[in-house]
Amino acid sequence: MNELSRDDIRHLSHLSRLELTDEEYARYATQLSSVVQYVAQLQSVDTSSVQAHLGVTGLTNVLADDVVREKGTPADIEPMDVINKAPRHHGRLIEVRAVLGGEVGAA
Amino acid sequence: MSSLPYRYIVGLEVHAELNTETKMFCRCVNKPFGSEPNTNVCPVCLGLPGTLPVPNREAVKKTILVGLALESTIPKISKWDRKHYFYPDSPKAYQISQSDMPLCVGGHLDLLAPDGSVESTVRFERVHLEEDAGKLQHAAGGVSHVDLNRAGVPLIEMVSKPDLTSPEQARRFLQELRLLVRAVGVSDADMEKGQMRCDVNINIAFEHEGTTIKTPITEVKNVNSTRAVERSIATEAQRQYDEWMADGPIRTRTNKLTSGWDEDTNEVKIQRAKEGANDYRYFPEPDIPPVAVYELADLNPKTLVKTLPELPNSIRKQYAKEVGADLESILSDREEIEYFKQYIAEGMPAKVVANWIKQVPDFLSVAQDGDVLAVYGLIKSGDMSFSAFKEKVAQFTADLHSSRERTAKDTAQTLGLLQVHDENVVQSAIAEVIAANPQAVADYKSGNERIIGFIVGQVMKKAAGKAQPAHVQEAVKAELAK
Repeated sequence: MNELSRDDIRHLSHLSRLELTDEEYARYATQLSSVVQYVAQLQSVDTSSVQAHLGVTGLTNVLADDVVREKGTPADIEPMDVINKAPRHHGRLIEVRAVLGGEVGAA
Repeated sequence: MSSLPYRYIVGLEVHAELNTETKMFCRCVNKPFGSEPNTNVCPVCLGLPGTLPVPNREAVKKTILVGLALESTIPKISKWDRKHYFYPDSPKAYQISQSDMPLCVGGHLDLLAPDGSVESTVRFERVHLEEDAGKLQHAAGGVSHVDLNRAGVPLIEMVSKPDLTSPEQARRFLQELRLLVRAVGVSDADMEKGQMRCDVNINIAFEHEGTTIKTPITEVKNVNSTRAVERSIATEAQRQYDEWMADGPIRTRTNKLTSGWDEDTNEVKIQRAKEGANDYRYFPEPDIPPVAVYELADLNPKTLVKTLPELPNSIRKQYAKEVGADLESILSDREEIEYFKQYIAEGMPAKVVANWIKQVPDFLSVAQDGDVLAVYGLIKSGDMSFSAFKEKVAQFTADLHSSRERTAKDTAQTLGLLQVHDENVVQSAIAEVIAANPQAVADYKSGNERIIGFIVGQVMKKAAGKAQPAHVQEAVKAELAK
């Protein structure tokens, strides 16, 4: 169960849009399997008396008011500074290779 | 009704952008439409490293309001999850969404018959809150252009159970849901602007050689008008049936297909075998603590439920029978709903108010306190006819508002709209008309009550402007009853 097959790696690399060579499939199958096995050691711990928790901070209800941020706050950046750092852009639009007929957005 | 050899099994996933001031997890302006590309963006919605998303409390509130309107259960604790997928419209390569602990669970929406009775009920799985993706424009030369103004806009997803059994019902359901989110005031839900979007899940069931066949589900995305919902369902159902009958791969496939609706060709285009839920590698969003809405005064569902406006179905149940078809156009306009309820509360009959909303909307929109009831009083007493009022409504309104002391009756008088009523003239006219039309009188007495319109018309003609129709009608009835 903790041993990942080449097909698992092929599937994962597809989901991650990574192109791997045959040699890499084999290498990553071994490496990822050992990662999974390492984490799987946790399954030997008895957690029957531990309550499930939904976050590591212990916080709840951290929400922000629906008010537009003011000018000059750190998040108030000049978008062109970011757009210019993209490998390609077309005016204000970021340019990417076309992805047609393939994946559709999850939303 | 239908002679199709199969039954439809349809559920909708309906997305609506919330009309908040700011985005879901950052305080950028929520304005995906009509801004220069990539202007309403910041490090959070651009997916830059090291940023911290903070949920918009108004968006949480609006989602709960939708859940309350659908009579969903609002759980004590709700949390956020990352849904991973690689596509250039999502700069983080994941969407912050909600998987197993959404803000609203269950719920239902009724579709009513014209008389206001419940015709069918569509149940909901859930309503959850997430962020919208950016927009891709496919350009020439094998490239696409990315605009992230929409990335991070608050988006609710309302997921129905597969309770829909016809394309027509699905269209009505979507229209009804659109009306509801507008009535609750949480989204403009303009489908042409992409503020409301719909994915259709569809399969079919039919009998074949003694067993019930259920085809695998196709998810049709990009179904972005109410008409397209209806068409795509009919098209895809028939396609599934034909493929099955032709002994196609649908017979052995077990996974769900994802496809897109092509509005131009009216075709369902199969895109891929859908990534299974596992492939999205959902995990709890580590950067955002869970939400416990009952602990917050302004988000407590027990308080929020009291702030819900009256919903379309409630108004229909009270007035659909009396008002008829006009009620639907009133329900689609929040201002008209306000007039409708206000003047009914002030004592006018619903049918009359609905008619005035149609016929003299400008008068209602500028009317001052008491104006509408005063005019209605004149019409009810017969001092003025509605048609005469309507004809001069602009002048009437201007004159009425020309001074504070001006009454509706003064105005009607000035504009020559008051109807004279001379009882002596009317009585002698009635006597003459009755004498001259023995056949009409006999018809009336033998039960043809509609003929009274003819008799009243004759009397009005004879009285030559010295009679009010409402009074004449009463007087004629009294005379004929003798």
